Amino acid sequence: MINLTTSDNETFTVDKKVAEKSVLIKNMLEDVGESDQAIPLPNVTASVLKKVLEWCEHHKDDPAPPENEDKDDTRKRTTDISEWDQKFIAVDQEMLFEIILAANYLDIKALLDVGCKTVANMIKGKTPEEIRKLFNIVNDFTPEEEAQIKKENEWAEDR
Amino acid sequence: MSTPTAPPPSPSMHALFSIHELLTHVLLFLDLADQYRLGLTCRALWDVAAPSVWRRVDNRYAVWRLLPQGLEMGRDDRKGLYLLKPDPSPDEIAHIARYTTHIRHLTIENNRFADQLTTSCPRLLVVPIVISQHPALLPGLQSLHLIIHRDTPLGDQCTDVFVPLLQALPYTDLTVQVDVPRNTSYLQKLLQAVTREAHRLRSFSFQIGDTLEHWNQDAALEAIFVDLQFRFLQHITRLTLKLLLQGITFLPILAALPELQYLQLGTVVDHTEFADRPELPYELPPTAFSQLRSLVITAGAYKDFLDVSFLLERVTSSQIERLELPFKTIPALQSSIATISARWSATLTSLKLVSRIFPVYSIAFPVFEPLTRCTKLRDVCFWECRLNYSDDQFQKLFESWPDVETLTIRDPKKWPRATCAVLDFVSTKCVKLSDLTLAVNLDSGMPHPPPDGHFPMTSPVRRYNAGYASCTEPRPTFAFLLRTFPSLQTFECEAHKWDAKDMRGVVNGTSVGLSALAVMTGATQRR
Repeated sequence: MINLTTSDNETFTVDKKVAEKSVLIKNMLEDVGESDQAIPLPNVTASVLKKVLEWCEHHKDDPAPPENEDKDDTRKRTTDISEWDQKFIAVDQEMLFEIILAANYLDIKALLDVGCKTVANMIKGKTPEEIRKLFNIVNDFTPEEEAQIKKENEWAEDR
Repeated sequence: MSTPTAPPPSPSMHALFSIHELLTHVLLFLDLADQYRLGLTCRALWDVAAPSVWRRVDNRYAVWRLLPQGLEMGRDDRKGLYLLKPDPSPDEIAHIARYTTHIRHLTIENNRFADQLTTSCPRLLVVPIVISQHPALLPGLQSLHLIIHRDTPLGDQCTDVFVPLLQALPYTDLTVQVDVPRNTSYLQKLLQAVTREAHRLRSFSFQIGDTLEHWNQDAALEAIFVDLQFRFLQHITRLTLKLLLQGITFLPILAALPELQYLQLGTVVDHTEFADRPELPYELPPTAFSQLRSLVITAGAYKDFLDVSFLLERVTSSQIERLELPFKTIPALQSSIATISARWSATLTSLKLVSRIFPVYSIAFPVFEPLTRCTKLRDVCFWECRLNYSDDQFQKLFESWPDVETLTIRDPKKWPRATCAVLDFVSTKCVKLSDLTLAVNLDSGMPHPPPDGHFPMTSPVRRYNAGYASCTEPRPTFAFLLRTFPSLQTFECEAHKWDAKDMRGVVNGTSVGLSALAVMTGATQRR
């Protein structure tokens, strides 16, 4: 078993196989070897780590994802989220973003994909104004800049 | 619009939106239009989205719109047609470069609306002219796709513009697509220019003719290729040739290419007029196709006179991963399957066999049985092979491919079929299968639900296409499919397509299921 300590000083004891879904933790364990000392995770709070570990527990037997995917040409389908993952990720926006940040920090690629696909699904089909409203984005373009971008990139809308 | 002094994201936005790497990851799951709309929300997001939007440009208006425009000349049905300023100033070039430096894949075509003008107008080719004069606009270009339309009077002018482009840009992958041209002189110039760039070419694709019209100067084009001795292919790893060449002319040359790994041959249109053309015997070098990984021969002249089994026997590579082959006789098919299963069973992951056998024969199980040795297959397609097999024979084939993800067995409309028992079988044995096309008799062989009502199915099949099959009782059939394939999203049969939600509605009685009823009563036009 492995102990993990969060930024708010809560300690979780988890199965090594579950914890090693995180490449960060896996590498740390390989570097320092077996130890009773808790691994500090200063960028993750307890509430977020609890969710992340729930995901790792469910997916502990999944095969490792392929490495070196070509990011340039790979267009992944946004709907490609399993039923369990969809239920898992049905959380408020703040928690969703925190899970994504944690998955990125802990280096859990499959969970990062689930989070980013969910954000992508939220964006899909919306107008810029709807996206701004959804994510509290402030439009800092001048009207001239916005018009220029639209004029030069309108072709992308046709695709 | 990005500027060096762009302010940081608004504090009300979540910190996620300030991490470039994560936003780029989100973009991977969005199509181009959604990437663009996300970029339009604020400056910081435009800085992230713009490189992704401009990475692949296959819209001819994209680069046009960056160029300073002059007098508007006319309009086609979609976009304005503009006379562009041919010599942009340094400031204008710097502005264009802010977008074009992101381009990795670019498609350029000569203007097919040129006929609308009274005279041929070189300014219509201003995009390639500007680019060839300022190659620094495209420092990261990897692949270049040139399209030359038949309905242009530009001919040699087009070559004059495209040839400098071929010399100036830093691509390694080149695609040349030509509609039916009026003559071969500019093609000769173009291919000579390609030959001069042979040292950098890693991938080359050449297509002539379109789906409406065949080009009747194959011999003239063949002479050009022979004259050049395919010298531009020396360092090629990927090659696609969609044109009519005789095996004796080009196969010995292709077979000797030292680095060729991916080869696709075929023609754009089906040349039935060459059905009786005899294939002249050819010899291949002893190390023929030694590095080949993928061989695709699509419809076209090859179906009629290229002896696929003869070619396969002479391929010396031991690492074939993908094969797509047509067959015109059963002995050729049998011989090829023997070769495939004996030599590439450990490496082959994708196999498509297309029957062009006429008159129609059913292909007996022993012909396909050796494929049970190809246990690494992930993608299998038998097209019009007329498999008159029992459930047991189908099951024997399918259980030998535990990694199969896509399985397509497409047979003619009136053809004997397996029963639902085969679907039940694949749902438990093919645990990675997500896309299935297989006509079964949907009214037969449906297993009874277990007494405890519990179905331990975990099949990942998301799409099932029953082809020309039909069902007389949609409700039990849909219920069976939904419990057999719990991840099912789409079911297609006859001329109909249902999503899982519709099917559930029919099963639980909340939907009238009009389309299901139509199939049941045969009221619709069937395919």
